[in-house]
Amino acid sequence: MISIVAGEHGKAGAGYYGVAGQEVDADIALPALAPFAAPGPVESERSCTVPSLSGIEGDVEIFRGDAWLAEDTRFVECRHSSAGYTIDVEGVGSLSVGASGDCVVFGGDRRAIDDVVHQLLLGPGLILALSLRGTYCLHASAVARKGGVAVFLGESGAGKSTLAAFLAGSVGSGWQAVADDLLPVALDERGLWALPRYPQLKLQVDRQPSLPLPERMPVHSVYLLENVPSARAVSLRSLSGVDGALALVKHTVAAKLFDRDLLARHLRFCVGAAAAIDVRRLSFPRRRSELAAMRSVLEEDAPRLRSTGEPRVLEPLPI
Amino acid sequence: MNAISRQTVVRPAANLFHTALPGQQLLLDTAGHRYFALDGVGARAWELMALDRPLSAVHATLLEEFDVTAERLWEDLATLVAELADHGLVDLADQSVQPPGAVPELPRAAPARAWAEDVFTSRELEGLLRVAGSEMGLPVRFRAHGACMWPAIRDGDVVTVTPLGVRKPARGEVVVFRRPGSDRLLLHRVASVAGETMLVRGDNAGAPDGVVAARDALGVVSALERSGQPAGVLSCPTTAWGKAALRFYLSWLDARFALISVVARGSAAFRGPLA
Repeated sequence: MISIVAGEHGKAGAGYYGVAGQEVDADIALPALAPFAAPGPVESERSCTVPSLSGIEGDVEIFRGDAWLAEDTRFVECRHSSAGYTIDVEGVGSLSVGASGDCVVFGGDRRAIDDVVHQLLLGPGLILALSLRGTYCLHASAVARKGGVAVFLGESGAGKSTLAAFLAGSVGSGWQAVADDLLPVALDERGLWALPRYPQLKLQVDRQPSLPLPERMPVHSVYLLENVPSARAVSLRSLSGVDGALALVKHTVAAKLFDRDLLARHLRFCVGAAAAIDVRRLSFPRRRSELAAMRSVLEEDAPRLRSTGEPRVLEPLPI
Repeated sequence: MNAISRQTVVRPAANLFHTALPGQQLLLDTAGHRYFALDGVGARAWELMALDRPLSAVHATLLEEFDVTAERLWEDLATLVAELADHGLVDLADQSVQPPGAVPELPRAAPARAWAEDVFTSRELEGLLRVAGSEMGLPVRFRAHGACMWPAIRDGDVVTVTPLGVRKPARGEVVVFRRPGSDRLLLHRVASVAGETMLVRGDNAGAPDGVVAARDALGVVSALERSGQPAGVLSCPTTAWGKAALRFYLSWLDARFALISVVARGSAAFRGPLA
């Protein structure tokens, strides 16, 4: 369970949610999580105790500089110690995330919880807590067909949302929207899983695609979208293990805030994920008429789980 | 920085996390949030260096495994080590302080001449596979030899090869086949299948073996053991040498701070419900 502590009196059970495969117990109501409200204990017992993380011996600076939050540039400082993370945002307050990802605590003025604080809690706070628990958030759009999820990665403006919206809007084609912007994923011995119950912050609360979806769905393919204006046609090419793993690394949200242990765990996750599924580059000329061609390519590219015979052997990865 | 000599021992730096993929190495500098990759020759050199042996031993092993002159190999190896050191990815130490023989022998791919000492010749192995395998449908066990399928299959691993019957090999499977124009049997992975032909390549090899007829696959690897009795030896050839290039991928410190801007785009949508 992840506890979010931001209320003035630390009132338990104000909001109880099932998000990205985790129970989230917040002492304030979080409207962005309303679609994922779950029946929780009325008076939950908090296991989360967050010491003052600042000034602990041995803490190290992870990031210090300007960052963009709630339509404004703000000075941000992120530090890490054995107790967890602190993220100080100038003019907003500080956020602490426990080392095991079990709690997210707002340390500013709790009488003035506003939109910006909500974004701080649900952005860096919750995403960092999930990452510490082994669920990483991809900056990706995603659609599902025949029970398997296709994930689209790409630079901003590469057309991730456009392609997902086109597929989901193709009547009778069987594609279903899963994620528009953020997709939590987790890995186990059976493969890579999408955890669609996560707020798509670009979409209205009542238009969340994940509402009718199961809690977790197998990821069948990951496509790295690449706009090649000189290309003649849509094409698909498998990436090497390193390129596939690093495509996942690069499109992981909040990796800039990871400390060295979490960076290493994250890399191991990405290597494992790239071994479990194919990561392929989907190149396309930037013409809107290509969307139908892309759909054909994707529909022909049936779920290709690793071929039979010997499974790919991964090395044990000592840190 | 220490000068690079044949006694130099190259050790991963304290902040370095490294992980192996088939034929590749991924290096993460956790202090600088920087990612690097090594392919083919460079990946194999890294694996050997990580065994804490001096560069002379790394050089000797690579010389056996790759088709390259000793001079060219040393030049490229020293360049790679210098580049790794420049990026702070490795620490250089001098091995001369260690007593000789205190560290274990490197795993080495035997030179091609080891064929003469094997239990079976290539022809005999092929005959065995054709009769026991393809005609009788029996799986056959062999000891694999060489580094070209590392790390999936390692020098000395025992593989079980099952006949394909009428089925064509599939992409990703490891097949036994005779290298076109030679007597040598190889155990390599199918990179792609097109019609009646397949492109075959060792996971750890610099270049594919080329296109061979799918029907020339004598069998497919169905099991792998790291202990067991050898029945014969499958070899891999020396691999073409290529420049060991260190590829720099990305640095989070240089990357735009995307996290909070991703969230910020949601603010308009959520202003209503929050108000």
